[in-house]
Amino acid sequence: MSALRQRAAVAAVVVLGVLLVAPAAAQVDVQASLNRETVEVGETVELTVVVTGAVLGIDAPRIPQIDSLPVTSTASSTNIEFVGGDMQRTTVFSYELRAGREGTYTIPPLSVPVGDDTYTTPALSLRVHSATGTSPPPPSQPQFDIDDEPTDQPTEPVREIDAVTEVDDRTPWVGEQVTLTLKFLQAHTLRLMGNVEYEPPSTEGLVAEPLPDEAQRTQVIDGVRYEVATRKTSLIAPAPGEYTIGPATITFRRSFMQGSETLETEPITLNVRPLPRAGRPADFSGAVGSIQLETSLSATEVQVGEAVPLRLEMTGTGDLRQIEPPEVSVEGDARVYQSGEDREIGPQPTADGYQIGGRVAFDYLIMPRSPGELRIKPIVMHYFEPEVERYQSARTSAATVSVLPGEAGETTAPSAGEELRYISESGLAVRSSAPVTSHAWFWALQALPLLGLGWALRERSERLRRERDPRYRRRVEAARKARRALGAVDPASEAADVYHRVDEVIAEYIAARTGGAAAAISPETAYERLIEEGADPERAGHARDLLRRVRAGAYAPGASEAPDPAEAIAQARALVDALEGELR
Amino acid sequence: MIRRILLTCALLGACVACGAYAQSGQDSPDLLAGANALYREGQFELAAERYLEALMTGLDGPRVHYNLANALHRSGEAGAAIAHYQAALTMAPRNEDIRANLSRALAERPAGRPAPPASWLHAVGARIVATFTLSEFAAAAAICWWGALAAYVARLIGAGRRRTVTRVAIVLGVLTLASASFAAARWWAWHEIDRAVVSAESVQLRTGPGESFEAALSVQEGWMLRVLRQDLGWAQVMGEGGATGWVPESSLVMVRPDVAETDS
Repeated sequence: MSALRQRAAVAAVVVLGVLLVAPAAAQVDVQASLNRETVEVGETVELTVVVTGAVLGIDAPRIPQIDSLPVTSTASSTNIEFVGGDMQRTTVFSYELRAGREGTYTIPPLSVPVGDDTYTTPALSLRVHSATGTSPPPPSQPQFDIDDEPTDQPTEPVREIDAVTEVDDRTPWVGEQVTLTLKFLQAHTLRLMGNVEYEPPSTEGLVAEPLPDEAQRTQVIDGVRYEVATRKTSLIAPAPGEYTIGPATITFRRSFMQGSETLETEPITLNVRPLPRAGRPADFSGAVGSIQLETSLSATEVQVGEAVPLRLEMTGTGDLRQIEPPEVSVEGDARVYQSGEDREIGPQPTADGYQIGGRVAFDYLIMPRSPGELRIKPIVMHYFEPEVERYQSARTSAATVSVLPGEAGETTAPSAGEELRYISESGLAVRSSAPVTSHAWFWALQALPLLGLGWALRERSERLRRERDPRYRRRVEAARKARRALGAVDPASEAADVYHRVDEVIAEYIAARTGGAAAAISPETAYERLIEEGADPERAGHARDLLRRVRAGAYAPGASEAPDPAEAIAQARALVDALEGELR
Repeated sequence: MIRRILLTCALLGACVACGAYAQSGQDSPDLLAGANALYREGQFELAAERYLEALMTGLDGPRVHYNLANALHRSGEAGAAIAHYQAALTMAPRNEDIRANLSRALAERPAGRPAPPASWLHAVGARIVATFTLSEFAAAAAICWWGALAAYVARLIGAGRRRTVTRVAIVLGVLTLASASFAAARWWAWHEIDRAVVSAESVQLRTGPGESFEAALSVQEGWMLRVLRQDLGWAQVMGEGGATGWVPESSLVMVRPDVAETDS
């Protein structure tokens, strides 16, 4: 043997020694319990023995045979944890006992051999009462046995694959939860083709909610190891009466050569009892279960007009989905509004499995209307507790809120003493009218200033042009100046002066309109220039003749062709007006 | 010259303002008098019914809305009362009685105090917009517009002292822009946007137009909502905090379905 092998052998001996010594050294604890204290005839109860602290050498406890309380199935499981470097092992032995007859049973102390020692559990008590309208357990249900040990119950052969349904209470109250348990069993020796199809039972009329799955476990029945899967469902009846839980079916195939087979569980009938009238409070809310109430205030000191949020939290078991928000009463000048709610309902873990329950929060807003103190009265809620079969009440404690006056000048928080102002019987208009902007005339009126603006721009442009272009200014102002000059001539004055002045005005006008100096204007040149600028030949000839005649009158006094002075002025004015319309 | 132009424009602007102030001037019909009598007798619910009838017959001025709101408030219909106070205030924004009673009704609603404005500038602007009617803003803008253009025309044609005329034109132009901006804000906030007040004690704001949609938030009586859409008896609304959702139209009272207004 080499040195390496020698060292390995020594190590193995040491480890084995530690393992053998460990059970004796560890703190071993053995507990036994029943999941129910009261059952009906035909129902089952689960006896659980839990061994903690032992590492090796645990034997299954021996269950004494009790008349009318046979063991129908057994199971065991082991869980190993390492806590702080130490190994902690927990072994659970479960026994299903079926109540066969009415009476009170005592399960004597159980002996559990652990290593060289034997531990005993305390005695347990179970009360079995007669079934009310229930059917006896179905004969097709498989009878389980503890491992290979025989029982005094007549057992039926267990199928290689099977399903069982059962409820924990066949006579629940309205609103009370009933747990429906479905067990699927498949022997280790059975080989199936494909998947097993499962159809859940019908629960018509009942509020059903699946509960968390339990871990699949191995169970020995009649010496055969089975894989057992358990599905649990919460059922709540909304009204009293008889409800039937239909059969669950499983379909499977053993081989290609065989057709599919179907198994059905037995239907179960529930007789749902109405809630008792005796002791029912007048303001009973209809809640069934176990409920606790708690309130929380966000502020205990506010100003008038500020809202005080209040939250009422309801926790417990039962179908809290149907619960209506309770009324909140306040002593003092305030209004209360329900502003919201939040419900978290679902399966809640309990010592016996899962119960439907959770948390419901109702939010309120309290609006103080005047300074002072508000007292929020205790909120009371009555419910029926099935466990104790009587009505209970949950209540909150009273709370106080100090209300301070609002800020100075705060108009949104008038005090309660301030009266609502009276209705209007005059002053305010009785009929409405459309706003002025909806009328077309309003917008048309706003366009008028734009016309003025356009005119002003044009005027400004003209003024600038006249300032920059003297010839243009002379031309456009020629008619106005001529008319003004002619208006200034006095026809009663000396005739020669009148002719002279009219000659100057006409010559200046024609020179301004045609360009050039007035001194260069003779009757002939006037005619030619006017023709060139687009004047009518007859009008140009008229201008030529008028110039000749006024010049004759001015420079040859007594000439017969000179017109009357007043007529000369009139003809000159008419000529200017006519030419103004013809010249370019 | 400049004085004549400015005087002419002022007169024209005054005519526009007078047109905006034109009132119906009709006496209160018997229906309104009967409703007032019921109110005096303390029969507020009956009075509210009469005021509503008066509204239906076209008597839709601020007096009817205000009196109706008072009757509703006395009957415990706080949400509907707020809606009609708001409608009355739209038409007569400086009436102290309406303001006082609206403030009282708003203070009693569960929402508590309204959210403070974002800044003092916003607060001042909101206060100004809420103090005058659209017609008043429009008339002021029209007068300033005429005056500003008149001063500019005078400057163009060289009338009056150039510097003085320029200053007058600038000042009036700025006032025109300010008045027009306030008029636009008033039009947008009080006439273009459909507003409603929750009249039910509590109503769920849902994600769609139907009871089958998820309830996201609950709104209380008296809350002011902006109506974005109406569809098959449901209204899509937006709250003061910006949250949107759908509520049944039956749980709302529209503040002002039309754009009518009048002065006080």
